[in-house]
Amino acid sequence: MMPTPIPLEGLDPVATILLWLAVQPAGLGAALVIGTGVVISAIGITVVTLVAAPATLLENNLLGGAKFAFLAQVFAALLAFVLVDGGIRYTDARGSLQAEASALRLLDETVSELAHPAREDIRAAIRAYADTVVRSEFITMQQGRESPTAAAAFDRLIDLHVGALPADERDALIRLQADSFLARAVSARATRINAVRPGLKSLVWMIVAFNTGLAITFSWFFGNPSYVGQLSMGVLLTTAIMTVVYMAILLNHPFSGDLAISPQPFRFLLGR
Amino acid sequence: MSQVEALLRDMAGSGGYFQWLIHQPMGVILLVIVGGGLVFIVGGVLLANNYLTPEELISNTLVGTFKFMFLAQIFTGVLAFIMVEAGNRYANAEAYVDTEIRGLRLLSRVVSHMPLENQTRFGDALKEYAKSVAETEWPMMASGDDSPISRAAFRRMLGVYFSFNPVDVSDRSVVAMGNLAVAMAVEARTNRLNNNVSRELSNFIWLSLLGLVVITAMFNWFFGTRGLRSQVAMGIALGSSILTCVFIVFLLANPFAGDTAIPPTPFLELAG
Repeated sequence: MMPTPIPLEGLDPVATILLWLAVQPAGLGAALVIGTGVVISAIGITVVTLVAAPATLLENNLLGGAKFAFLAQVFAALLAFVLVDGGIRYTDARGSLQAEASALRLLDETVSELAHPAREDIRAAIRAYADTVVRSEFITMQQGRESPTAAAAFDRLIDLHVGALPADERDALIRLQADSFLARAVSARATRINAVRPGLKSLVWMIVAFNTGLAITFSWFFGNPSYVGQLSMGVLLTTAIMTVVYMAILLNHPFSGDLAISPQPFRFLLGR
Repeated sequence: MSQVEALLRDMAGSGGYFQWLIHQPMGVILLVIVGGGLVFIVGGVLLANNYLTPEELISNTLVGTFKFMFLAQIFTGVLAFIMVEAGNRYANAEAYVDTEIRGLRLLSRVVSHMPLENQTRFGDALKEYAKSVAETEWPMMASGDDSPISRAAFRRMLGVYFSFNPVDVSDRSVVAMGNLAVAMAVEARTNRLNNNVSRELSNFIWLSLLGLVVITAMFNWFFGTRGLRSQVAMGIALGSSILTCVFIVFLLANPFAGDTAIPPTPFLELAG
Protein backbone atom coordinates (compact mmCIF):
# COMPACT_ATOMS: atom_id res chain seq x y z
CA MET A 1 0.00 0.00 0.00
CA MET A 2 1.31 3.45 -0.97
CA PRO A 3 1.99 5.78 1.98
CA THR A 4 -0.35 8.81 2.19
CA PRO A 5 1.47 11.90 0.86
CA ILE A 6 2.05 14.71 3.34
CA PRO A 7 0.31 17.76 1.80
CA LEU A 8 2.83 20.46 2.73
CA GLU A 9 2.88 22.52 -0.48
CA GLY A 10 1.46 26.05 -0.42
CA LEU A 11 1.66 26.45 3.36
CA ASP A 12 3.53 29.10 5.34
CA PRO A 13 6.53 27.88 7.41
CA VAL A 14 4.60 27.79 10.72
CA ALA A 15 1.70 25.84 9.20
CA THR A 16 4.20 23.49 7.50
CA ILE A 17 5.95 22.65 10.79
CA LEU A 18 2.63 22.15 12.61
CA LEU A 19 1.18 19.94 9.88
CA TRP A 20 4.40 17.95 9.64
CA LEU A 21 4.26 17.31 13.38
CA ALA A 22 0.55 16.46 13.24
CA VAL A 23 0.92 13.85 10.48
CA GLN A 24 3.65 11.92 12.32
CA PRO A 25 2.63 8.82 14.30
CA ALA A 26 1.46 10.01 17.73
CA GLY A 27 4.41 8.42 19.55
CA LEU A 28 6.99 10.03 17.28
CA GLY A 29 5.20 13.42 17.25
CA ALA A 30 4.94 13.46 21.04
CA ALA A 31 8.57 12.43 21.40
CA LEU A 32 9.69 15.20 19.04
CA VAL A 33 7.63 17.99 20.64
CA ILE A 34 8.18 16.98 24.26
CA GLY A 35 11.77 15.88 23.66
CA THR A 36 12.74 19.19 22.02
CA GLY A 37 11.29 21.14 24.95
CA VAL A 38 12.98 18.94 27.53
CA VAL A 39 16.39 19.12 25.82
CA ILE A 40 16.20 22.94 25.52
CA SER A 41 15.10 23.20 29.15
CA ALA A 42 17.91 20.93 30.40
CA ILE A 43 20.56 22.80 28.41
CA GLY A 44 19.25 26.19 29.60
CA ILE A 45 19.19 25.18 33.28
CA THR A 46 22.69 23.73 33.02
CA VAL A 47 24.15 26.79 31.29
CA VAL A 48 22.53 29.24 33.72
CA THR A 49 23.70 27.16 36.72
CA LEU A 50 27.26 27.16 35.36
CA VAL A 51 27.30 30.88 34.55
CA ALA A 52 25.45 32.41 37.54
CA ALA A 53 26.19 31.72 41.17
CA PRO A 54 23.28 30.04 43.10
CA ALA A 55 23.38 32.84 45.69
CA THR A 56 22.67 35.44 42.97
CA LEU A 57 19.83 33.38 41.55
CA LEU A 58 18.32 32.77 45.01
CA GLU A 59 17.59 36.49 45.26
CA ASN A 60 15.26 36.18 42.25
CA ASN A 61 13.07 33.53 43.85
CA LEU A 62 10.63 35.65 45.86
CA LEU A 63 9.73 38.19 43.19
CA GLY A 64 10.37 35.77 40.32
CA GLY A 65 8.07 33.21 41.92
CA ALA A 66 5.18 35.65 41.99
CA LYS A 67 5.75 36.73 38.40
CA PHE A 68 6.21 33.14 37.25
CA ALA A 69 2.89 32.20 38.85
CA PHE A 70 1.22 35.12 37.06
CA LEU A 71 2.87 34.09 33.78
CA ALA A 72 1.55 30.56 34.35
CA GLN A 73 -2.01 31.89 34.54
CA VAL A 74 -1.68 33.90 31.33
CA PHE A 75 -0.04 30.96 29.57
CA ALA A 76 -2.81 28.67 30.83
CA ALA A 77 -5.42 31.03 29.37
CA LEU A 78 -3.61 30.99 26.02
CA LEU A 79 -3.35 27.19 26.03
CA ALA A 80 -7.00 26.91 27.09
CA PHE A 81 -7.92 29.12 24.13
CA VAL A 82 -6.06 26.99 21.55
CA LEU A 83 -7.40 23.80 23.17
CA VAL A 84 -11.01 25.05 23.21
CA ASP A 85 -10.71 26.42 19.66
CA GLY A 86 -9.13 23.17 18.46
CA GLY A 87 -11.72 21.11 20.32
CA ILE A 88 -14.61 23.05 18.76
CA ARG A 89 -13.11 22.70 15.28
CA TYR A 90 -12.51 18.98 15.81
CA THR A 91 -16.09 18.42 16.99
CA ASP A 92 -17.53 20.56 14.17
CA ALA A 93 -15.48 18.72 11.56
CA ARG A 94 -16.53 15.28 12.83
CA GLY A 95 -20.18 16.26 13.33
CA SER A 96 -20.53 17.93 9.93
CA LEU A 97 -18.82 15.02 8.19
CA GLN A 98 -21.39 12.64 9.67
CA ALA A 99 -24.27 15.06 8.98
CA GLU A 100 -23.20 15.48 5.35
CA ALA A 101 -22.86 11.73 4.79
CA SER A 102 -26.30 11.16 6.39
CA ALA A 103 -27.89 13.88 4.23
CA LEU A 104 -26.34 12.34 1.09
CA ARG A 105 -27.52 8.88 2.12
CA LEU A 106 -31.08 10.22 2.60
CA LEU A 107 -30.82 12.08 -0.72
CA ASP A 108 -29.76 8.85 -2.40
CA GLU A 109 -32.68 6.91 -0.87
CA THR A 110 -35.19 9.64 -1.76
CA VAL A 111 -33.95 10.14 -5.31
CA SER A 112 -34.21 6.40 -5.94
CA GLU A 113 -38.00 6.82 -5.66
CA LEU A 114 -38.14 9.37 -8.49
CA ALA A 115 -39.64 8.36 -11.84
CA HIS A 116 -37.38 10.89 -13.62
CA PRO A 117 -34.81 9.32 -16.00
CA ALA A 118 -31.98 11.36 -14.39
CA ARG A 119 -32.48 9.36 -11.17
CA GLU A 120 -29.57 6.99 -11.74
CA ASP A 121 -27.30 9.85 -12.87
CA ILE A 122 -27.95 11.70 -9.59
CA ARG A 123 -27.23 8.55 -7.57
CA ALA A 124 -24.01 8.02 -9.53
CA ALA A 125 -23.05 11.68 -8.92
CA ILE A 126 -23.52 11.16 -5.16
CA ARG A 127 -21.10 8.24 -5.27
CA ALA A 128 -18.64 10.09 -7.50
CA TYR A 129 -18.67 13.02 -5.05
CA ALA A 130 -18.20 10.73 -2.04
CA ASP A 131 -15.28 9.11 -3.83
CA THR A 132 -13.53 12.44 -4.53
CA VAL A 133 -14.03 13.49 -0.90
CA VAL A 134 -12.35 10.33 0.34
CA ARG A 135 -9.55 10.34 -2.25
CA SER A 136 -8.83 14.05 -2.65
CA GLU A 137 -10.54 16.24 -0.05
CA PHE A 138 -9.26 14.30 2.93
CA ILE A 139 -5.76 15.34 1.78
CA THR A 140 -6.50 19.01 0.95
CA MET A 141 -8.44 19.44 4.22
CA GLN A 142 -5.17 18.81 6.02
CA GLN A 143 -3.95 22.02 4.37
CA GLY A 144 -7.08 23.83 5.52
CA ARG A 145 -8.88 24.05 2.15
CA GLU A 146 -11.44 22.25 0.05
CA SER A 147 -10.54 20.16 -2.98
CA PRO A 148 -11.42 21.74 -6.36
CA THR A 149 -12.17 18.22 -7.66
CA ALA A 150 -14.60 17.53 -4.82
CA ALA A 151 -16.15 21.01 -5.22
CA ALA A 152 -16.66 20.34 -8.95
CA ALA A 153 -18.18 16.92 -8.20
CA PHE A 154 -20.54 18.52 -5.68
CA ASP A 155 -21.55 21.22 -8.20
CA ARG A 156 -22.27 18.49 -10.76
CA LEU A 157 -24.49 16.73 -8.20
CA ILE A 158 -26.38 19.98 -7.56
CA ASP A 159 -26.79 20.64 -11.30
CA LEU A 160 -28.11 17.14 -11.96
CA HIS A 161 -30.51 17.33 -9.02
CA VAL A 162 -31.82 20.81 -9.82
CA GLY A 163 -32.10 19.90 -13.51
CA ALA A 164 -34.23 16.81 -12.82
CA LEU A 165 -37.49 18.72 -13.06
CA PRO A 166 -40.52 16.68 -12.00
CA ALA A 167 -43.22 15.86 -14.54
CA ASP A 168 -45.98 14.98 -12.07
CA GLU A 169 -47.14 15.71 -8.51
CA ARG A 170 -45.65 12.48 -7.12
CA ASP A 171 -42.16 13.35 -8.35
CA ALA A 172 -42.63 16.95 -7.19
CA LEU A 173 -43.35 15.77 -3.65
CA ILE A 174 -40.35 13.45 -3.65
CA ARG A 175 -38.19 16.26 -5.08
CA LEU A 176 -39.32 18.58 -2.32
CA GLN A 177 -38.06 16.11 0.27
CA ALA A 178 -34.83 15.53 -1.67
CA ASP A 179 -34.25 19.30 -1.89
CA SER A 180 -34.15 19.59 1.88
CA PHE A 181 -31.57 16.79 2.10
CA LEU A 182 -29.42 18.45 -0.57
CA ALA A 183 -29.62 21.79 1.27
CA ARG A 184 -28.61 19.99 4.46
CA ALA A 185 -25.61 18.49 2.63
CA VAL A 186 -24.61 21.95 1.29
CA SER A 187 -24.73 23.38 4.80
CA ALA A 188 -22.82 20.45 6.35
CA ARG A 189 -20.15 20.67 3.65
CA ALA A 190 -19.71 24.39 4.41
CA THR A 191 -19.33 23.65 8.14
CA ARG A 192 -16.81 20.87 7.44
CA ILE A 193 -14.63 23.08 5.23
CA ASN A 194 -14.88 25.98 7.67
CA ALA A 195 -13.76 23.78 10.55
CA VAL A 196 -10.37 23.31 8.89
CA ARG A 197 -9.82 26.86 7.61
CA PRO A 198 -6.46 28.22 8.78
CA GLY A 199 -7.74 31.70 9.80
CA LEU A 200 -5.08 33.33 11.97
CA LYS A 201 -3.82 29.94 13.11
CA SER A 202 -0.16 30.56 12.17
CA LEU A 203 -0.09 33.88 13.99
CA VAL A 204 -1.77 32.38 17.07
CA TRP A 205 0.75 29.53 17.06
CA MET A 206 3.66 31.97 16.83
CA ILE A 207 2.30 33.63 19.98
CA VAL A 208 1.89 30.20 21.61
CA ALA A 209 5.50 29.30 20.68
CA PHE A 210 6.76 32.62 22.08
CA ASN A 211 4.87 32.16 25.34
CA THR A 212 5.97 28.53 25.61
CA GLY A 213 9.57 29.73 25.28
CA LEU A 214 8.98 32.33 28.00
CA ALA A 215 7.37 29.79 30.33
CA ILE A 216 10.30 27.40 29.91
CA THR A 217 13.14 29.95 30.14
CA PHE A 218 11.68 31.91 33.08
CA SER A 219 12.32 29.02 35.47
CA TRP A 220 16.00 28.85 34.53
CA PHE A 221 16.68 31.99 36.55
CA PHE A 222 15.47 30.68 39.89
CA GLY A 223 18.11 29.72 42.41
CA ASN A 224 18.33 26.26 43.88
CA PRO A 225 21.40 24.92 45.74
CA SER A 226 20.64 21.50 44.27
CA TYR A 227 21.34 21.30 40.53
CA VAL A 228 19.63 17.89 40.33
CA GLY A 229 16.51 19.28 41.98
CA GLN A 230 16.45 22.29 39.66
CA LEU A 231 16.98 20.11 36.58
CA SER A 232 14.35 17.53 37.59
CA MET A 233 11.70 20.16 38.30
CA GLY A 234 12.50 22.00 35.08
CA VAL A 235 12.25 18.82 33.01
CA LEU A 236 8.96 17.79 34.66
CA LEU A 237 7.39 21.20 34.14
CA THR A 238 8.55 21.35 30.51
CA THR A 239 7.17 17.86 29.88
CA ALA A 240 3.77 18.96 31.19
CA ILE A 241 3.80 22.14 29.07
CA MET A 242 4.89 20.41 25.87
CA THR A 243 2.35 17.59 26.32
CA VAL A 244 -0.49 20.11 26.36
CA VAL A 245 1.05 21.97 23.40
CA TYR A 246 1.22 18.70 21.43
CA MET A 247 -2.39 17.90 22.34
CA ALA A 248 -3.42 21.34 21.03
CA ILE A 249 -1.49 20.74 17.78
CA LEU A 250 -3.36 17.46 17.21
CA LEU A 251 -6.77 18.96 18.00
CA ASN A 252 -6.11 21.78 15.53
CA HIS A 253 -5.47 19.25 12.73
CA PRO A 254 -8.63 17.11 12.76
CA PHE A 255 -7.86 15.33 9.48
CA SER A 256 -4.16 14.54 10.11
CA GLY A 257 -2.17 11.92 11.97
CA ASP A 258 -3.20 9.09 14.25
CA LEU A 259 -6.15 11.00 15.71
CA ALA A 260 -7.50 11.99 12.27
CA ILE A 261 -11.24 11.81 11.74
CA SER A 262 -12.03 8.80 9.60
CA PRO A 263 -13.69 9.11 6.15
CA GLN A 264 -15.75 6.02 7.05
CA PRO A 265 -19.17 7.78 6.79
CA PHE A 266 -18.34 8.58 3.14
CA ARG A 267 -16.99 5.08 2.54
CA PHE A 268 -20.37 3.72 3.65
CA LEU A 269 -21.92 5.76 0.84
CA LEU A 270 -19.61 3.99 -1.56
CA GLY A 271 -20.64 0.63 -0.16
CA ARG A 272 -17.19 -0.09 1.31
CA MET B 1 -23.13 61.51 29.89
CA SER B 2 -20.55 59.82 32.08
CA GLN B 3 -16.93 59.65 31.04
CA VAL B 4 -17.16 55.86 30.67
CA GLU B 5 -20.15 56.20 28.33
CA ALA B 6 -18.30 58.83 26.33
CA LEU B 7 -15.26 56.59 26.08
CA LEU B 8 -17.37 53.61 24.97
CA ARG B 9 -19.09 55.73 22.34
CA ASP B 10 -15.75 57.00 21.12
CA MET B 11 -14.38 53.48 20.84
CA ALA B 12 -17.51 52.23 19.05
CA GLY B 13 -17.42 55.06 16.53
CA SER B 14 -15.31 55.03 13.42
CA GLY B 15 -13.01 57.66 14.89
CA GLY B 16 -12.24 55.66 18.05
CA TYR B 17 -8.67 54.95 19.09
CA PHE B 18 -9.13 51.20 18.69
CA GLN B 19 -10.55 51.77 15.22
CA TRP B 20 -7.49 53.81 14.30
CA LEU B 21 -5.19 51.11 15.59
CA ILE B 22 -6.83 48.18 13.77
CA HIS B 23 -6.35 49.92 10.42
CA GLN B 24 -2.58 50.13 10.91
CA PRO B 25 -0.12 47.52 9.51
CA MET B 26 0.35 44.51 11.78
CA GLY B 27 3.89 45.58 12.73
CA VAL B 28 2.59 48.93 13.98
CA ILE B 29 -0.17 47.23 16.01
CA LEU B 30 2.45 44.92 17.55
CA LEU B 31 4.69 47.88 18.31
CA VAL B 32 1.90 49.93 19.91
CA ILE B 33 0.44 47.10 22.03
CA VAL B 34 3.57 45.15 23.01
CA GLY B 35 6.19 47.91 22.68
CA GLY B 36 4.02 50.58 24.31
CA GLY B 37 3.02 48.20 27.10
CA LEU B 38 6.62 47.23 27.83
CA VAL B 39 7.72 50.87 27.94
CA PHE B 40 4.91 51.51 30.47
CA ILE B 41 5.98 48.52 32.63
CA VAL B 42 9.75 49.15 32.52
CA GLY B 43 9.36 52.94 32.88
CA GLY B 44 7.25 52.45 36.00
CA VAL B 45 9.74 49.98 37.50
CA LEU B 46 12.62 52.41 36.93
CA LEU B 47 10.61 55.30 38.34
CA ALA B 48 9.61 53.34 41.47
CA ASN B 49 13.23 52.29 42.02
CA ASN B 50 14.26 55.91 41.74
CA TYR B 51 11.93 57.07 44.52
CA LEU B 52 11.80 54.02 46.82
CA THR B 53 14.67 52.10 48.39
CA PRO B 54 15.19 48.40 47.54
CA GLU B 55 14.30 47.56 51.19
CA GLU B 56 10.92 49.28 50.88
CA LEU B 57 10.21 47.54 47.60
CA ILE B 58 11.29 44.13 48.95
CA SER B 59 8.98 44.54 51.93
CA ASN B 60 6.14 45.23 49.46
CA THR B 61 7.00 42.03 47.64
CA LEU B 62 6.28 39.87 50.71
CA VAL B 63 2.71 41.13 51.08
CA GLY B 64 2.14 42.02 47.43
CA THR B 65 2.79 38.50 46.19
CA PHE B 66 -0.50 37.20 47.60
CA LYS B 67 -2.44 40.11 46.14
CA PHE B 68 -0.64 39.71 42.84
CA MET B 69 -1.67 36.05 42.76
CA PHE B 70 -5.29 37.02 43.39
CA LEU B 71 -5.07 39.55 40.57
CA ALA B 72 -3.60 36.86 38.30
CA GLN B 73 -6.69 34.69 38.78
CA ILE B 74 -9.05 37.52 37.90
CA PHE B 75 -6.94 38.61 34.95
CA THR B 76 -6.78 35.08 33.57
CA GLY B 77 -10.54 34.65 33.84
CA VAL B 78 -11.15 37.81 31.81
CA LEU B 79 -8.37 37.07 29.31
CA ALA B 80 -9.56 33.51 28.67
CA PHE B 81 -13.14 34.71 28.20
CA ILE B 82 -12.12 37.45 25.76
CA MET B 83 -9.80 35.12 23.83
CA VAL B 84 -12.54 32.55 23.28
CA GLU B 85 -15.06 35.28 22.40
CA ALA B 86 -12.65 36.90 19.90
CA GLY B 87 -11.69 33.53 18.41
CA ASN B 88 -15.38 32.69 17.93
CA ARG B 89 -16.03 36.06 16.33
CA TYR B 90 -13.28 35.51 13.75
CA ALA B 91 -14.22 31.86 13.02
CA ASN B 92 -17.93 32.73 12.76
CA ALA B 93 -17.20 35.62 10.38
CA GLU B 94 -15.30 33.24 8.07
CA ALA B 95 -18.10 30.68 8.28
CA TYR B 96 -20.87 33.21 7.54
CA VAL B 97 -19.02 34.58 4.50
CA ASP B 98 -18.51 31.06 3.18
CA THR B 99 -22.13 30.00 3.79
CA GLU B 100 -23.48 33.14 2.11
CA ILE B 101 -21.34 32.48 -0.97
CA ARG B 102 -22.47 28.84 -1.09
CA GLY B 103 -26.11 29.93 -0.76
CA LEU B 104 -25.74 32.49 -3.56
CA ARG B 105 -23.97 29.98 -5.83
CA LEU B 106 -26.70 27.41 -5.18
CA LEU B 107 -29.36 30.03 -5.95
CA SER B 108 -27.55 30.92 -9.17
CA ARG B 109 -27.56 27.24 -10.22
CA VAL B 110 -31.27 26.99 -9.46
CA VAL B 111 -32.04 30.16 -11.44
CA SER B 112 -30.24 28.64 -14.44
CA HIS B 113 -33.36 26.45 -14.81
CA MET B 114 -35.64 29.48 -15.13
CA PRO B 115 -36.41 31.25 -18.45
CA LEU B 116 -33.46 33.03 -20.10
CA GLU B 117 -34.76 36.51 -19.28
CA ASN B 118 -34.91 35.70 -15.55
CA GLN B 119 -31.44 34.18 -15.72
CA THR B 120 -29.96 37.32 -17.29
CA ARG B 121 -31.66 39.72 -14.89
CA PHE B 122 -30.73 37.60 -11.87
CA GLY B 123 -27.13 37.21 -13.07
CA ASP B 124 -26.76 40.98 -13.36
CA ALA B 125 -28.38 41.59 -9.95
CA LEU B 126 -26.16 38.96 -8.31
CA LYS B 127 -22.99 40.47 -9.79
CA GLU B 128 -24.09 43.95 -8.69
CA TYR B 129 -24.70 42.71 -5.13
CA ALA B 130 -21.40 40.80 -4.94
CA LYS B 131 -19.50 43.81 -6.30
CA SER B 132 -21.14 46.18 -3.81
CA VAL B 133 -20.33 43.86 -0.89
CA ALA B 134 -16.67 43.59 -1.92
CA GLU B 135 -16.22 47.26 -2.74
CA THR B 136 -18.46 49.18 -0.33
CA GLU B 137 -19.66 46.85 2.44
CA TRP B 138 -16.28 45.30 3.23
CA PRO B 139 -14.56 48.61 4.12
CA MET B 140 -17.65 49.62 6.14
CA MET B 141 -17.66 46.32 8.03
CA ALA B 142 -14.12 47.13 9.13
CA SER B 143 -15.73 49.96 11.11
CA GLY B 144 -18.57 47.78 12.36
CA ASP B 145 -21.22 49.02 9.89
CA ASP B 146 -23.16 47.60 6.97
CA SER B 147 -23.66 49.26 3.60
CA PRO B 148 -27.05 50.67 2.54
CA ILE B 149 -25.94 50.16 -1.08
CA SER B 150 -25.37 46.43 -0.52
CA ARG B 151 -28.61 46.18 1.42
CA ALA B 152 -30.49 47.70 -1.51
CA ALA B 153 -28.61 45.50 -4.02
CA PHE B 154 -29.51 42.40 -1.98
CA ARG B 155 -33.19 43.38 -1.96
CA ARG B 156 -33.07 44.00 -5.72
CA MET B 157 -31.51 40.60 -6.31
CA LEU B 158 -34.17 38.84 -4.23
CA GLY B 159 -36.83 40.90 -6.02
CA VAL B 160 -35.60 39.59 -9.37
CA TYR B 161 -35.63 36.01 -8.05
CA PHE B 162 -39.15 36.30 -6.62
CA SER B 163 -40.44 37.91 -9.85
CA PHE B 164 -40.41 34.44 -11.44
CA ASN B 165 -43.95 33.18 -11.68
CA PRO B 166 -44.18 29.37 -11.52
CA VAL B 167 -46.84 28.00 -13.83
CA ASP B 168 -46.46 24.22 -13.58
CA VAL B 169 -45.21 21.53 -11.24
CA SER B 170 -41.72 21.72 -12.70
CA ASP B 171 -41.46 25.49 -12.12
CA ARG B 172 -42.71 25.07 -8.55
CA SER B 173 -39.92 22.56 -7.95
CA VAL B 174 -37.34 25.06 -9.13
CA VAL B 175 -38.78 27.71 -6.79
CA ALA B 176 -38.89 25.29 -3.85
CA MET B 177 -35.16 24.53 -4.21
CA GLY B 178 -34.41 28.21 -4.82
CA ASN B 179 -36.21 29.19 -1.63
CA LEU B 180 -33.91 26.94 0.39
CA ALA B 181 -30.90 28.67 -1.19
CA VAL B 182 -32.42 32.11 -0.49
CA ALA B 183 -32.98 31.17 3.16
CA MET B 184 -29.34 30.07 3.42
CA ALA B 185 -28.01 33.29 1.88
CA VAL B 186 -30.32 35.60 3.88
CA GLU B 187 -29.47 33.91 7.18
CA ALA B 188 -25.72 33.97 6.47
CA ARG B 189 -25.81 37.65 5.42
CA THR B 190 -27.76 38.59 8.56
CA ASN B 191 -25.36 36.61 10.74
CA ARG B 192 -22.32 38.14 9.01
CA LEU B 193 -23.57 41.65 9.74
CA ASN B 194 -24.81 40.91 13.28
CA ASN B 195 -21.51 39.24 14.13
CA ASN B 196 -19.73 42.41 13.19
CA VAL B 197 -21.97 45.23 14.49
CA SER B 198 -23.30 45.79 18.05
CA ARG B 199 -19.90 46.30 19.56
CA GLU B 200 -20.94 48.13 22.73
CA LEU B 201 -20.64 45.04 24.93
CA SER B 202 -17.35 43.99 23.39
CA ASN B 203 -16.02 47.52 23.84
CA PHE B 204 -16.95 47.38 27.52
CA ILE B 205 -15.08 44.07 27.79
CA TRP B 206 -12.12 45.65 26.02
CA LEU B 207 -12.12 48.48 28.51
CA SER B 208 -12.12 45.96 31.37
CA LEU B 209 -9.17 44.09 29.85
CA LEU B 210 -7.29 47.33 29.28
CA GLY B 211 -7.92 48.31 32.90
CA LEU B 212 -6.66 44.96 34.18
CA VAL B 213 -3.52 45.19 32.01
CA VAL B 214 -2.77 48.65 33.42
CA ILE B 215 -3.41 47.48 37.02
CA THR B 216 -1.14 44.45 36.49
CA ALA B 217 1.60 46.63 35.01
CA MET B 218 1.35 49.12 37.89
CA PHE B 219 1.39 46.30 40.46
CA ASN B 220 4.80 45.32 39.08
CA TRP B 221 6.21 48.74 39.82
CA PHE B 222 6.01 48.26 43.58
CA PHE B 223 7.90 44.99 43.82
CA GLY B 224 11.61 44.85 44.34
CA THR B 225 14.75 42.70 44.41
CA ARG B 226 18.40 43.46 45.07
CA GLY B 227 19.15 43.44 41.37
CA LEU B 228 17.31 45.96 39.19
CA ARG B 229 18.31 44.11 36.01
CA SER B 230 16.56 40.92 37.15
CA GLN B 231 13.48 42.92 38.06
CA VAL B 232 13.36 44.61 34.65
CA ALA B 233 14.00 41.31 32.82
CA MET B 234 11.22 39.57 34.74
CA GLY B 235 8.89 42.50 34.10
CA ILE B 236 9.64 42.32 30.37
CA ALA B 237 9.07 38.56 30.30
CA LEU B 238 5.71 38.74 32.10
CA GLY B 239 4.68 41.86 30.17
CA SER B 240 5.54 40.22 26.82
CA SER B 241 3.40 37.24 27.66
CA ILE B 242 0.39 39.35 28.64
CA LEU B 243 0.74 41.83 25.78
CA THR B 244 1.21 39.24 23.01
CA CYS B 245 -2.04 37.65 24.18
CA VAL B 246 -3.76 41.05 24.05
CA PHE B 247 -2.27 41.58 20.56
CA ILE B 248 -3.71 38.33 19.17
CA VAL B 249 -7.09 38.99 20.80
CA PHE B 250 -7.16 42.45 19.22
CA LEU B 251 -6.61 40.97 15.74
CA LEU B 252 -9.15 38.16 16.23
CA ALA B 253 -11.80 40.58 17.48
CA ASN B 254 -11.62 42.58 14.24
CA PRO B 255 -12.18 40.04 11.44
CA PHE B 256 -12.82 42.59 8.69
CA ALA B 257 -10.09 45.13 9.38
CA GLY B 258 -6.33 45.44 9.06
CA ASP B 259 -3.69 43.14 7.58
CA THR B 260 -5.32 40.03 9.03
CA ALA B 261 -8.82 40.82 7.73
CA ILE B 262 -10.86 38.13 5.99
CA PRO B 263 -10.53 39.04 2.29
CA PRO B 264 -13.62 39.74 0.10
CA THR B 265 -12.16 37.45 -2.62
CA PRO B 266 -15.20 35.08 -2.83
CA PHE B 267 -17.51 38.06 -3.50
CA LEU B 268 -15.10 39.47 -6.11
CA GLU B 269 -15.05 36.07 -7.83
CA LEU B 270 -18.84 35.99 -7.78
CA ALA B 271 -18.91 39.49 -9.30
CA GLY B 272 -16.71 38.21 -12.12
